[in-house]
Amino acid sequence: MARTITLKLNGRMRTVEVEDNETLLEVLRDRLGEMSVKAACWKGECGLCTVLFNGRPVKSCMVLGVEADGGEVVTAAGISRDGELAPVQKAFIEHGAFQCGFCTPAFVVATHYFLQKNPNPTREEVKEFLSGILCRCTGYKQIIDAVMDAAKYYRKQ
Amino acid sequence: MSAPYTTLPEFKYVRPKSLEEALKLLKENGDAAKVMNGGVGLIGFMRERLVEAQYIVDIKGIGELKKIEYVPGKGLLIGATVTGNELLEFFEKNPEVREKFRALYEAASHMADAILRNRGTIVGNILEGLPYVDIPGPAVLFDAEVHAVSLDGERWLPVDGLVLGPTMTQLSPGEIVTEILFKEPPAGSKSTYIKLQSRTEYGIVNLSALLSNAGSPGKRDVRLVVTAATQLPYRAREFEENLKKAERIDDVLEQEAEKLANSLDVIEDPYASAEFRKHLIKVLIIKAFKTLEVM
Repeated sequence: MARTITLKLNGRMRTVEVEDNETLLEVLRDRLGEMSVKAACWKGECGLCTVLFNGRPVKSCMVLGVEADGGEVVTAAGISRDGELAPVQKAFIEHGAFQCGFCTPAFVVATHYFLQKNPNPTREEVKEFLSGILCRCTGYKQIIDAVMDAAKYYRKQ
Repeated sequence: MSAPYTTLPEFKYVRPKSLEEALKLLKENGDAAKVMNGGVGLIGFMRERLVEAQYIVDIKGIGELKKIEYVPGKGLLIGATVTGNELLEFFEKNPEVREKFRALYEAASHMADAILRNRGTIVGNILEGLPYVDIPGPAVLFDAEVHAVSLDGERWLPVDGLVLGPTMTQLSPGEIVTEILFKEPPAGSKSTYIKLQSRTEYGIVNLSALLSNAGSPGKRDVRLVVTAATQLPYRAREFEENLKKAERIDDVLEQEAEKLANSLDVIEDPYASAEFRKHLIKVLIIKAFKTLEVM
């Protein structure tokens, strides 16, 4: 069944027609053109479709699009402010924390949430939190280095 | 291996505001309507075409199902839409309750991953019926019961025996689990959860263990639940009785652990052979009770 939903996406109100059986992942990519959200495993394991939904990170392949009606979604494309990259984005660049880059939006948006909640993490806590996102190039060391380094900016905020 | 589906089959989504409205929808539509708690299990099963539904009844809009309440002497009540992370946040604020239900806390910390725990619910984790998930172990350990409500009445069902297999439970099509009660453990008891993972998030052997009054044979309480290695949660009653009546736990622990491991019908799959799982059950039981004895 088709219906019209309204959600706040990266700070902007958007109205879109969706089918009941479309996931939030499909709505974001196919209906709203939000290509920073990646589609890969379609079973909640790889985490590449991670977005912030009503303030918390979720895997958008495991959320229905209709559930977002009246809600708020933030993607990696929505965490910079006034054209300036978020600290975690800068840290990923400084540390070369990507190889092919396909997993980067998910790591960036999840980490942006995590560091706001826990700006003093241990390496173990970072690993535990990020265990639900897979980098198939396996460049995890640089990712964790970047998160640990970015933490200092979140402590100042 | 899973089928290469990405899209979900067609269904109609409904989000009732009250329990009564949800129960009416279930009654009218019978088996064609499926209840969605967090959705992690249901969306996954539907995508794999393992579950069919014409109606998805999303119960997340029903406010009363969000409660977490500790009632001294009775136990811990957790509503049907409480997620893994919401329970962990409750435990962070209530460390005394966390220590009473330590095995549940440890299992919830290992449930799926930190991101899926924002969607996956404590109740849903049990109702999926998958062998390797985390919450059924501590649920059976704490004699948990689910409150199943329908338009025709209500009943409390023990988690031990509730699940029949993946996606299959003793629940009737018209019933909704509104909450689960983890029963108050004996005073002074300690509990723990051990999850041995392969290279995935899935356990190959999960143990939930509880011990109280270790030094006093007559008063001692011993509980053990094996999950992940067996198709359904296994409460090791005979093992428990033999450890309860032993003069000293250490005298019989190794022998009883081996006896139990050898008696179980364990899963054999690409992650671990049956023989390896039996070995792990034995050594992890010994580890669990040695840990509990000095806690």
